Amino acid sequence: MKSRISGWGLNNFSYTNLITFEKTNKRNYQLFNSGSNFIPRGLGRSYGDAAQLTGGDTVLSGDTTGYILDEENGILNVSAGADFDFLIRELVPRGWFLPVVPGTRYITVGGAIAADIHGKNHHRDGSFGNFIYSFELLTPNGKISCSAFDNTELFFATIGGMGLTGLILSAKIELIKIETSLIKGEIIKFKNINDLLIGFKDYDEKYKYSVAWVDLLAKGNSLGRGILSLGNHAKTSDLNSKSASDIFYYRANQKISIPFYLPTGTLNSLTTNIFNKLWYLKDKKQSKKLFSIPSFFHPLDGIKNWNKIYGKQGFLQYQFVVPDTRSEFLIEVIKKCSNQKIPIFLAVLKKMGASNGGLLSFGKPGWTLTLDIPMRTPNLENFLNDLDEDVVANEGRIYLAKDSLLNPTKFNAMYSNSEKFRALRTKGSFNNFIQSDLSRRLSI
Amino acid sequence: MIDIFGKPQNVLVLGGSSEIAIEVLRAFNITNRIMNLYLAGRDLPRLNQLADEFRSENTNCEVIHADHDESSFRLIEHIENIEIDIAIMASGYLPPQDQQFKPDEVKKVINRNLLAVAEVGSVVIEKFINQNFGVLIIFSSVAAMRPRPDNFLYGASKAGLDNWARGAMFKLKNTGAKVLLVRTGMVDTRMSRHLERAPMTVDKKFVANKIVKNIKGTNQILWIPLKIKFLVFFLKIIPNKLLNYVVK
Repeated sequence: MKSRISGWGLNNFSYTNLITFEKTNKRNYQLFNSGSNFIPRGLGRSYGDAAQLTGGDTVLSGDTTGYILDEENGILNVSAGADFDFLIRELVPRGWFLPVVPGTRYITVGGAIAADIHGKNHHRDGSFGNFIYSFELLTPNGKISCSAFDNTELFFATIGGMGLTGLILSAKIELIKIETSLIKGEIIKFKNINDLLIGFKDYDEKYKYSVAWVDLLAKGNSLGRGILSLGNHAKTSDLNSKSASDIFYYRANQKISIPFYLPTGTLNSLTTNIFNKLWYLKDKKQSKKLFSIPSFFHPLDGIKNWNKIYGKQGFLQYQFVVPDTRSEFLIEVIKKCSNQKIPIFLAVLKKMGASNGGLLSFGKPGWTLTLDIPMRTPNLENFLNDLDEDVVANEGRIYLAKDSLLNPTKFNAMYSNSEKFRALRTKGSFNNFIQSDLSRRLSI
Repeated sequence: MIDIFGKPQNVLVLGGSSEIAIEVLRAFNITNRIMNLYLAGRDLPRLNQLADEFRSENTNCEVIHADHDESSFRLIEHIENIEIDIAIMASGYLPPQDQQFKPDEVKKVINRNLLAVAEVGSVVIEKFINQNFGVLIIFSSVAAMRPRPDNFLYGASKAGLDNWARGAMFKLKNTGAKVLLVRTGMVDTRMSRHLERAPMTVDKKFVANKIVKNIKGTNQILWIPLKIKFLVFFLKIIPNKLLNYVVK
């Protein structure tokens, strides 16, 4: 019997066969001989339909804890099914950290490579793909090893390739050494978007991690006001006597859970406006403090099933990046959201740095804005279609791991390597075996 | 595939010149989307005219002759070879009131309103089960709920279709596909234009927009307008003698 699954946005469900891949089970190597198309899936944290295949097979990893840590060189050899929550718990007490972490720790290593995830340090360090030495990939031609020097074309197609170039079995990752498990942070409030953009430029040089929450319902002189969160890994000299007693103390729990879908309409302009006002007021104008890793990187992970607050209709996350020179467009988008009173309580702005060689990798130098939008928002389809066209016109692109709506024409316009990627899929016969609802929608 | 707003890439219309179906296609914003449209029906000149309207740089439009003769078998074969996300079963015929006991009219009504839809719909259902998604739109009527003298033959065919559609819902349970059974009162189209306007008559655009809004979601029975559901509740429980007194 088929299972009903969706992305994190809960906006497009799919009936699929869920199967678990076990490396030791030889029958599973017949993934490419089963007669059915398949797509790998991690923990289902893509917001759209990238990790599901309607009517086909969706493949989960059976190995979620296998790893070998080379502490001398800071290299982690890890199963693709291991998730960041598990790895951070294992690594931090030993003085290591993952080089890039996104806004949730509930993603697998395979998913992180496939989406070429980025984090608060993209402006300095780039995305996850930059820290991959190599990975093992299961393809129609068997198991092969890929790196920047070996099967290079496939290596760069797989990074950001949304799982469409094979099943990632394991990866070798470069870690970063940390002195403590805390983040030395600074929180700064900015009265409007113009000040916030300047704030990024002033502070990004000093901090490894930076991201801003933006109030998209603020108007007039407060348009785009926000809170910039900055951080560096704390050194032992930064700790107070209490935190110095256990410098690698790490604890991450899900404190509360949303057990059922909230009524559709709970998040509306009024409730969102109230939330945004309170959230903006909660911090001082400028403050410095020590943060735990979960509170700095993954505050939403403290609430299990937080996506259910959007109700049964769900939501979508729209994330785009535009070049530095297009900050005016960014302000126009913020103005539009404010004028149309779109109930977005979670809007995140970040400066991005250099791109890597991933054919479908999202990150590139410029500004990225992420919007969580309830599906019940009136006239949402037209709003998003117009926004897509504006993003294309401003040399930008949408993040495929968040995408729910692009069509092939817009995708081709946003990703200059789209045809190269398609050609590779055809050449390697990947398209005969590996499909997802996303790849069908975008004709990849 | 059907996108997050319920908009398809591949649509089949049986009864391709149906005014309601045309409004549904317009509500899908066909010409601005990348898609395949299949218009099946009897009136080839009209279908070709509509195909020209919908055809665009991004949209392919194919006309398929389908009548209740051997051409319906060709249509069924054709369906097996194309992709369908949404199938709109809009084939329908309203007989003249004074012809309801003519054998030819009986055959026409049952063939067009029930048999053609159930035959083609069955093939579409099998396709939807295999692909694990799809929406089969069936048009029922309040006339199906209780026979009235002026339209009992039409009502009989729609009652059969309504039952078939509800049976199909069971078949599609837990497959990812669904039936959307649309129960309307009088809709302002050329089929009803010669009749006296009934209470709660609705515009075809209104019907189309409601249908498009319900493509996604779990709702399978759509009353248009909603208040007609309550009218029907009373119609069903009124004793015959009272109904005969009330209804002409």
